[in-house]
Amino acid sequence: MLVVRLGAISRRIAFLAVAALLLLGPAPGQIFGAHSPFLREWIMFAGVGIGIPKGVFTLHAANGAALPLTPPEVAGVTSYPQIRHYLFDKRVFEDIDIKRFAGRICDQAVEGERLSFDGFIGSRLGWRPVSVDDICALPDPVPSADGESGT
Amino acid sequence: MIAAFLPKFLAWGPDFVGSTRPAALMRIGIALIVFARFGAEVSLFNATSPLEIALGVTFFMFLTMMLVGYMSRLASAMTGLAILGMYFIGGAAMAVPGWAHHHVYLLGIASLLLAMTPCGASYSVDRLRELGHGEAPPERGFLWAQRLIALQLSALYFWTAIDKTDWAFLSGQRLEQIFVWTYTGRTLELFLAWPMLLALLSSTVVIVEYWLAVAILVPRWRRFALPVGIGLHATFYLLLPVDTYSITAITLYLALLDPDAVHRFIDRIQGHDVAAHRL
Repeated sequence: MLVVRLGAISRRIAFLAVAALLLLGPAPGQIFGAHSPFLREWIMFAGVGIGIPKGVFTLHAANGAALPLTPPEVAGVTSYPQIRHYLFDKRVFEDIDIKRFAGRICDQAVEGERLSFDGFIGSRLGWRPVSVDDICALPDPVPSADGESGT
Repeated sequence: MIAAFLPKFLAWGPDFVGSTRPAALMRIGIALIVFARFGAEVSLFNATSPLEIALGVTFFMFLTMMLVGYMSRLASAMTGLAILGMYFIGGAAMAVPGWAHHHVYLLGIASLLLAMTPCGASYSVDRLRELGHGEAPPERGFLWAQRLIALQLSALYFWTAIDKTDWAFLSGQRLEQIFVWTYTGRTLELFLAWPMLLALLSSTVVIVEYWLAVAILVPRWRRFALPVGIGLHATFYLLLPVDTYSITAITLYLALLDPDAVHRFIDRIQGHDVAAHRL
């Protein structure tokens, strides 16, 4: 009888403890910003699309001609690769990162050419307006250190 | 009021008893999903050291035991620990791509919770062995951990809805960003032409997720919640690269059903009560 009662009590304690962990575990990270790898936050796809431009790049020739380019054309892709989004090394987190996104064009640009961008960059807070007059003249960006956020 | 609520809560949660068939079906389903998810990454052909060979062999040994139901609870526990080990050590600490994802965590925690159920009392080698000894063990047991799986699903819906409750998501901007990454240069790029549709879809997803967090736990609402939830996960599966997340969540919906009703349903479709269906 005692064993049965102890079993019931331990089962109830285990149930309440695990239930509290499952139900409230995400709260420290998602409400208070106190992130821990041991308390899983449910923020699926929160990082997908972050750092991807939406807008128009324009390649200005020395003679004044302007050639509009889409973001995929500038990145040299027809579609973004079907890889984990955080493995795409051209994502734009700061304005100067757009030089990394447009690296292919800047590497091929001839004397007198200028690449500009007018549009938005994806961020956690929505579309962030960005306008850069001469991308290739920006200082070189540092490599991205972004981790697996928003998985 | 507490005196009236407590017995109901205990009967629903920690003292809940029922048929073990849903837990067994989840054990089999989750094991198959884990095979599909990690088959290519943990298999021996990918190993770069004897240690990885040993870990791979051990992982697949316990996973196979979980699938066939041999020492079911131990096998489920070891599989769950191995997956969470990959999640915490491989994913979070060593940054192996994809291992720190929510769908991996869900597979790990589901396996661990299944280990706390009598998931080997049905559809298992464990049961077959007991029957071989002349015993017919009951397909019943304490299912408190099955309730915890239901709470895990509820928490998942609630917290993901919390994460989406901001202007960036509700206005459709975040969904547009996700679609720009996923659909650019592909046929479904046409979605990007309708920002109002994206805002409507975003708001709908958030409302449905808040509702599901409660509705899957309320018996009266469950008959509506289950098709809506399955539809939501099927939509995610078809429109986004969600890996095993959708199929895992749908498999865990077995934890939301009345286990005895599942038991009776299986008896009925197998014609157990009809003599003509017996060999």
